[in-house]
Amino acid sequence: MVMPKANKRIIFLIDMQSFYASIEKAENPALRNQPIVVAGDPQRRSGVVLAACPLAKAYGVVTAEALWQAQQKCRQLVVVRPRMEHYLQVALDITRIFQSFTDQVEPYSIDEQFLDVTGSIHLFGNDPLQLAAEIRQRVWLETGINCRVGIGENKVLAKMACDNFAKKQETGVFWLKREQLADTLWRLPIEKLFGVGSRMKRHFHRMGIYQIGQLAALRPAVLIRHWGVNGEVLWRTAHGMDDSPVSLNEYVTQKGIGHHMTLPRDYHTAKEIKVVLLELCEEVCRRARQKERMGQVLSVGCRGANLAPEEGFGRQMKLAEATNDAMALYEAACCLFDRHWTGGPVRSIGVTLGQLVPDNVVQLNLFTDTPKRRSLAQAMDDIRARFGPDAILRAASALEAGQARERARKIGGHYK
Amino acid sequence: MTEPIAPGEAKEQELVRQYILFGILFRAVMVDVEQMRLVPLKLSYLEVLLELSRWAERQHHQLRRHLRQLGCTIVSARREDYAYVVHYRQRGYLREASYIIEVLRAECQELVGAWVRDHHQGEKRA
Repeated sequence: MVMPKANKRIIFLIDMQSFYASIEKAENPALRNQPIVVAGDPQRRSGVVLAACPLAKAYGVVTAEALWQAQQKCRQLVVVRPRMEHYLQVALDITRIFQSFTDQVEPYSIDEQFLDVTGSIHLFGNDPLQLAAEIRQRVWLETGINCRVGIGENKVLAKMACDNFAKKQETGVFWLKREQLADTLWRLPIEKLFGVGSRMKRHFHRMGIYQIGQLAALRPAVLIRHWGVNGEVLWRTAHGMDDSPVSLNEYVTQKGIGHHMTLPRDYHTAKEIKVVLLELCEEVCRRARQKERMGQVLSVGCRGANLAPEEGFGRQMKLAEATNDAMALYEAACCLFDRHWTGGPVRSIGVTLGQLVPDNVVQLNLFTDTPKRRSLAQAMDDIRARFGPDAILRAASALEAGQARERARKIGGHYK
Repeated sequence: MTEPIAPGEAKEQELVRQYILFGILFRAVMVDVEQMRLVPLKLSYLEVLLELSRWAERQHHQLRRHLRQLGCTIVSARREDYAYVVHYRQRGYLREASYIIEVLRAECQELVGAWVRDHHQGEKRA
């Protein structure tokens, strides 16, 4: 029996293996011995791979690659259309399983959840490894999904334990201890550190830092000089320091409301891009009204063909007054877009409303009938809530460039 | 409500799952038998389905006896939206298992396949 130290927390990060693909395999025995991917629309051969099963991954298929590329790597690949509503339901069911082990459960994404079992571990034999095995067994028996468990004394250690070690272990469980970091985490390449992406990796390589241990050996001041607060966060992550609690309320205070869309093809003219821009503003404002918030800062982001960031832009502006009115936001978004768009093809576009304030106090204007616009927006929201998101649309959405009708059939851009 | 994990517990969870699966299977086959009675067919396949249902029911009862010997009894089993929620008492402690309906259906289908293969192998041996 391994007794945890009294002053240390025990945090689990539980990750579902190939979540969407595992659900499809569990629910369809005919697929079990076949390489499958859950991806876009199999009929149109469009979209990206959302999840690939281990058999498909053995052929070199990777998540987020284009479906046609995956099909070139594996000729017998079975493509399954996503069912996002069902996946969400299964994720809720898995949360319910976790809640029978502890009341401290924080969903981190659809297929990853944090559990703080510090207070309940004594009920399960006081051994985190045994408890992790028990949770894995229950998830497997009740949902048919294989999960991996990273264990640490905080969220960051649990996350890195899962991503870097548990996924490679046969047992699917790994306990990353702070006192053993020099022999475990610090030996890994720098990109394996949580929070280091491909761009940050290039920065570190230019500084001559290739391993996490080298970063940990630096003085925090060096990193703060380069990246400010983020530099210090990276240093603390390398040392396995993180005080954030496992809490459902982690995401309650929302700082911004944004909506982003990857388009089915490159859009070339301002006229058709603005149709999408209007739809995005409409969606952002609908969500802001639902949360009874208005925003004062607008951000517009575009990416060019092949989603290359260097061909796009991301700019923001402060509005004269906070708003959650779609037309007011659209006018400002057009202004930003016209100023910064260089005329190149656009493949992805996003709108974010920041600096949120409650919407119960509004500055009235002599020249616009604000109450009338607000009640009109409220009426449209009510219709959508009752009859579906495509029950009422702006006329511009009926144009060929419009995406609102298609998006109404999807969750997060993928089929319901 | 909970107790330290005993070494044999994983096995008991598996047995509970098998018990639930066979219970669903024999009932589902009986429902299908009733449906088939209404359909005019050239031949009757009722005997095959009844045999399958009887086999599943036998397994179901055997598992129940086995679980009882291990100190485990099923308290309730009911459908809740997407899940089939089972409460069982294990050595005095009440536990819950929540199975996804679609997964149970797929596993029942697998049991039918296993039954057919067993029969086929029995014929070969004969």
